[in-house]
Amino acid sequence: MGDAGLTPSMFFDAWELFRTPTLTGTVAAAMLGVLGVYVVLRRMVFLSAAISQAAGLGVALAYLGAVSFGLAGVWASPTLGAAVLTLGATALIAADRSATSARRDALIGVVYLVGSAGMLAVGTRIVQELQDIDALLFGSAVAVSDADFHLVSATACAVLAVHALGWRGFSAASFDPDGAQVRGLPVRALEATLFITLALAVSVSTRVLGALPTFAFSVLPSLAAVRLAPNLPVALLLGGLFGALSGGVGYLVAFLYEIPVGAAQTLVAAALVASAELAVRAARLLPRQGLSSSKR
Amino acid sequence: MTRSVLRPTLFLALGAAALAAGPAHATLRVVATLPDLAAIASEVGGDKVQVTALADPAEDPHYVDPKPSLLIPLSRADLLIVNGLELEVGWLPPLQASARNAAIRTGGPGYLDASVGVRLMEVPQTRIDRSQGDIHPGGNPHYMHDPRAAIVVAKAIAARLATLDPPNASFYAERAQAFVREAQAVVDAERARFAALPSAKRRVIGYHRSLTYLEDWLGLTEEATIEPLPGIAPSPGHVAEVLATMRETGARVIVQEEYYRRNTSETLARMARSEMVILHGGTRFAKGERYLDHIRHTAQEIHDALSH
Amino acid sequence: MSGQPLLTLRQVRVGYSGQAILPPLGLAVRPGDVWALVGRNGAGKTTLMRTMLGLLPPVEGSIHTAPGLRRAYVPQRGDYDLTVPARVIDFARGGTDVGWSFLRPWHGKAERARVADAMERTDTVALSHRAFATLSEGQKQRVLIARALCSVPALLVLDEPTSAMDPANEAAVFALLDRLRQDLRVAVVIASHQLSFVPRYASHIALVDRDDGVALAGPAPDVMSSPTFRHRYGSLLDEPAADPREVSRG
Repeated sequence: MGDAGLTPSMFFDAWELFRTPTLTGTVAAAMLGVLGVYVVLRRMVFLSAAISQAAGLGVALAYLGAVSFGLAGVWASPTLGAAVLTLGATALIAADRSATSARRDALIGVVYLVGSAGMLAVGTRIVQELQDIDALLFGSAVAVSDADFHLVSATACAVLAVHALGWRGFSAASFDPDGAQVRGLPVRALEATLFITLALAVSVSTRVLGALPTFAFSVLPSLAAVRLAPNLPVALLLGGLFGALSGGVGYLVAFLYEIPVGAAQTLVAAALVASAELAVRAARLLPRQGLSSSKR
Repeated sequence: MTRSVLRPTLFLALGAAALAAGPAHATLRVVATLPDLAAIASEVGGDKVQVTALADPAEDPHYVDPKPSLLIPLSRADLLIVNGLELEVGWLPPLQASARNAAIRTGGPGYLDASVGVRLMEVPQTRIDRSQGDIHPGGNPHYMHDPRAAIVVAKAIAARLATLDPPNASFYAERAQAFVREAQAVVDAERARFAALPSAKRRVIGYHRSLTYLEDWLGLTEEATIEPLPGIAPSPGHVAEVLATMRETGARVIVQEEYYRRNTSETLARMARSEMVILHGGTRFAKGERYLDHIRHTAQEIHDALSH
Repeated sequence: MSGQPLLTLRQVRVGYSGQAILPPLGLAVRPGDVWALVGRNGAGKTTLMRTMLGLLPPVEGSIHTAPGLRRAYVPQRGDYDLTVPARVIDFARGGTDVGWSFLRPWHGKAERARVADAMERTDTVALSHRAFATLSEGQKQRVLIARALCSVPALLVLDEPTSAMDPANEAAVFALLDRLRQDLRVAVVIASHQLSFVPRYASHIALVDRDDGVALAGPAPDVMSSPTFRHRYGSLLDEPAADPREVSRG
């Protein structure tokens, strides 16, 4: 791998070229790193994979509507198709309030499978090349247009503002829903908001950066954060920080070693998880004080 | 990917980074999306050009995952040569935008769509309403398997290089002529060789609709494709149909590029007791292969299989 | 001990999705009451408790709550996911939010004061910076109660607070609840399939059994002397008879 011809200084000399995709990866990953704390702790790691498959089915259905049923204009818009299916799938997953996470896990699997199989099945009924659906759905993390960068930044600002303001509510609704409802918190509204921000973040990031880095950003940085953080607010902050690191450093690594950007970002995030795990284990080996002092 | 070419290009690009981008260099910097186009550009431009290819021949040109380092040659390129017909629609536009190089924007002076002037096949007959979304209006984009198309492309590249670098116009024209002569010889020789085969032998099964131009050149008949529709994985029903077609028509050779899946083709080859030809996806440009050598190799492989 | 009822159930039948699982039941919870919801596992205790918390609508009958009634719920310890990172102080703070008060990233002065008070009353101050997941069962239960107190409830509802606990810790938890009842005049509702605490601490009892169609509620002495109760738990009543206590009557 390591191409001796490429050095970090070459990267920074040509920073003008790499600024937009690097910052886009950083911002999207920071946003997903924060949201990922809920994804990981609520055991929905395959949520983003399921959402992007549902969006794919939406695009395919929009093409089918145009080609087979003569729909035109906004009714045949792939963007509308993706949005409707994304929100529908998210609502389906969010609406499940059963006590066990096993059912939600199964539901996510159903959405993923129906989305993938449906996309392939519908794909055979449209004259379009399937690659076009891929191109529309899955962006590429290597190069990002300014418009897409602005889209990601605006989404991240909105999502992070909502989560900075409401984290106490999202936490209560996520981890103590009954207690929160008894205390009069708007649990349903909080759940809906949490899932809408997740669907928004995942779909925008998938559209701009692609499915692999989006999936990775929504799981790995927060996994490392949860391992290290003493409490939820710190986990949210660390998740965002680790996400930003994966997105930015991942791009540099992709440049230096000439590997696909999404793969490099994913591997950097995975390295953070491994480091966090090692740090926790190392800390356990050290003698700890105060372990028994507080027992009364 | 194109490492041997990329590295000098990179050093050159960075060395000249302080200079404003423009045509006033000792050599023209050319980026081509596909290795076939890069090889022809290199042939026409000789030592007056530095050529980088974005895709690897072993990569499906629909799904290229470009490396970030390729943004550097793109940003400094005087000329970007694309296959066009939306073959690169899934990955090239953001690269073009991110390169921050006005010359190579679509329609810019340094942007060359190589498909312009090529006699296109499979152009949709019905007008497609663009409001339906991003629907292919062009035609079959896999024309680089056909050296007759390459002749058109070489001439277009020479003309564009001449525009960008007028002092060397005759240099480019001469080299293009040399390429055209050699290509024409390959075109005629292979045609004649294939024509000598009995017509019952000149039947093939394709994988993707990517062999149309090649078959037209060599006088082959494609009895079926393993993909029911471009980009759609084969269904069991369709595989059964292909098998029936192979038995009916006596087509005994399956031809596909190296980047397509082989499991279905292998099954069919076994069941119909037929040959499989795995073509190189394109010129091994990074290893110094010439386009016409790649084409001769391709024709040879198919001919061998057909004459068994 | 009296005062206006905090929560009144009139001819209420509890159940899920329109299907009642218990006969009609009437009861009134007043400040300082300690209600024991008893019955076997699966007898309908949890359904009754969730109905009293407002988490489930009654299938029949009506429920009246005092205006502005603040309820707090202490779920079973096992209901909390220990992989969620939280120190004791974070856990307690999580209980401060009422209604829309969560719309503030930081906890304010008043909220911090409530947390400090709740932790002091539950003797959990020394545990503040320990990770919740590392606590013993007794410590965890005290922290859960602290969390519930942070919303300053008038009615505290606990689900199986002493399950999987040794007798000493169990006694400590009930002693703590009794202290809170006296100091804060909160009403306490305890759903439990264990009965050892009933004679000593409960002022009122609701006995339920969906299989036999039993729903009995009232002051502890009345319920305990009923044939139905004696039939089930007779042996239990003989032991603690030596330790009678003043029972508040509604």
